[in-house]
Amino acid sequence: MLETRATHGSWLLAALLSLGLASCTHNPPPPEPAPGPPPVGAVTLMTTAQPPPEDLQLDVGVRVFGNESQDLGITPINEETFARIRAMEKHYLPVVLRNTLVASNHWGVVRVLPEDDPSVDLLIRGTIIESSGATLTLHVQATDSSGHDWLDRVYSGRAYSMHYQQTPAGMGDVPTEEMKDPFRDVYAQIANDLLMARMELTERDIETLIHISELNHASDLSPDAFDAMLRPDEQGRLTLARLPADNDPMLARVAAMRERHHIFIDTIDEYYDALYLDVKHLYDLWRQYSHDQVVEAQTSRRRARNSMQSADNFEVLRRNYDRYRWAKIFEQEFVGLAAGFVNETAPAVLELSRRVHGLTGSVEEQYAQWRELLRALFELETGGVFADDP
Amino acid sequence: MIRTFHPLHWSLPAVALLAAMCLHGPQASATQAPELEDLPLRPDFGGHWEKDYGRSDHWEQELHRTVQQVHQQAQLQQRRGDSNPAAISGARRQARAIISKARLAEMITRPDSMRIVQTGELVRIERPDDAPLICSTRENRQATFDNVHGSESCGWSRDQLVFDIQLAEGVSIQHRFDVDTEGETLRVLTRVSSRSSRSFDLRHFFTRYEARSTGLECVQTLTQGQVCSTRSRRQQ
Repeated sequence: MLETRATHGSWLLAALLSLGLASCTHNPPPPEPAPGPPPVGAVTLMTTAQPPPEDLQLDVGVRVFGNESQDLGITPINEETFARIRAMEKHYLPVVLRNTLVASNHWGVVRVLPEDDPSVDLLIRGTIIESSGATLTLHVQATDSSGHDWLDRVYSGRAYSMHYQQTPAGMGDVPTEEMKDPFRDVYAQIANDLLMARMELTERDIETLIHISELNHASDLSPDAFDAMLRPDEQGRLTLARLPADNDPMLARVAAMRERHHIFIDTIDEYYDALYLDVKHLYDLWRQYSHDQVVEAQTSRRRARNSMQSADNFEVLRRNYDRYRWAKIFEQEFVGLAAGFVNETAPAVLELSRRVHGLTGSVEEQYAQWRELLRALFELETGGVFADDP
Repeated sequence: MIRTFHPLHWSLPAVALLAAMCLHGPQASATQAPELEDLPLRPDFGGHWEKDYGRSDHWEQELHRTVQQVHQQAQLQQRRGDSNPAAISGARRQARAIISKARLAEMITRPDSMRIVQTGELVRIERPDDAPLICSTRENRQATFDNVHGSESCGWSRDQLVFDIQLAEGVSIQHRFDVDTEGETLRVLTRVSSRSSRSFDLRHFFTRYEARSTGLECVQTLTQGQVCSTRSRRQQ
């Protein structure tokens, strides 16, 4: 509307502009934001020195998270910078969960994956609901290869100043131990809940689950050959209809393919790990600033609630302007730090997307290409025995 | 990130875009470049500006004039037979409010220089001891800040760049920027207003000057703040 080159003077437009804003000239101080889900509190990760026997170890895939968090209070002009941080978090936070599961020693191989993977026994999907230096809220779902849901829960954790009192690695003059994740309780709670779910299974259940995963992957390579071996029950969960013979040559080929596939997804997992290691100290520092920003916003809200005075007094006007000015300077500095974080982590993020095995595109695209390639390879090796007739 | 523009008036955003692409190198050009025809024409505010005190308003004079107007209006009402004591005390209260607004306007507009960085994407007005005013060159209207202590929006009103700041207790501040046809004079109108009394305006004129180039290119980092290097090293 303001861009129209009508014959009306610019002051008329200015008047309209002012009129539009006049309705919000007297903003009552906003209330505190609505509380989210209760925080998990202090949680001790359940670990074991004695991992399960190898044939009873479940392989876990942690999918790259979705991110629905919004930077409340960040104005549209700065959105792009924060969008990049959110994009990085999608890859970073699953690695923290992966590391927690590995540290518990209760699982087989735990990998971060770009997509759902038919070869894993348990797949974890996460969505970041809120992520700041003060709060982390994740929606976590875990489903095993039979389609049975293990977990569907929102986890929330709060971090306080004490969590940031350690000097992040590489930041101080004296090298210190690596800073622990301020939201480690959240990840520990997820890991413990997964363990509880696994403990409900018998050894036979676990063996069946591992067979189903193998057939799932086989079926992904050659649906015609293996689909019939799995049958959904009334609840839609997959059960074993029959097992191929141990000496089935097709199964041997599938096992060989599975090995190759694991090498590929191990490589992908290493990329996520490399990103995590590259940006960890920066992300720790960034979250510390983010925590300060949240604390400052809370202080501002408190101040605003306690100061409703006459606008005719210069001291009141000056104080109000100063508060606005400093709040804005603070936000600008925060945005500057965000830009600094994005600039410094850019090489690591780019590295994640580098070419793998002659495939191109993002990690997600490469993964999809790999699955196609594996199917084609399998068909080639089996001489197209199970390929659809033209 | 500092880009000084030639003092061409109404320079096409295309020039700004090309300059931005040249300075940023391939990284910037890899991002989605806006279609040139989609970019609205904006006047060029970019550069260093210093206050022209000879042409600018003097706040005491403006205050005196405005308060006089309020008194004259009150006297006029009295002469018309309106001797209501509430009207007289109202005029006194108005005068007090105008003084407060004038002092605030003076405080806000005190800096005698400013630097404006303009790209194809945004205009950033940097003033000493104050938060920068930042506005998109592409959007006609945009919220740029929102906090319990105030909110800010900006927009383009024909060729003027307008910032509206809403403070607590219903006080608003408007900055209106425009440049002359030669691109050598920048005019800034600052208006402080509230619902309780008439607004107070201050006009300031700025003239363009060429600041000495540092020859440095800086990039913001999280761990070391601004990291600068000379352009020649970067080109190597």
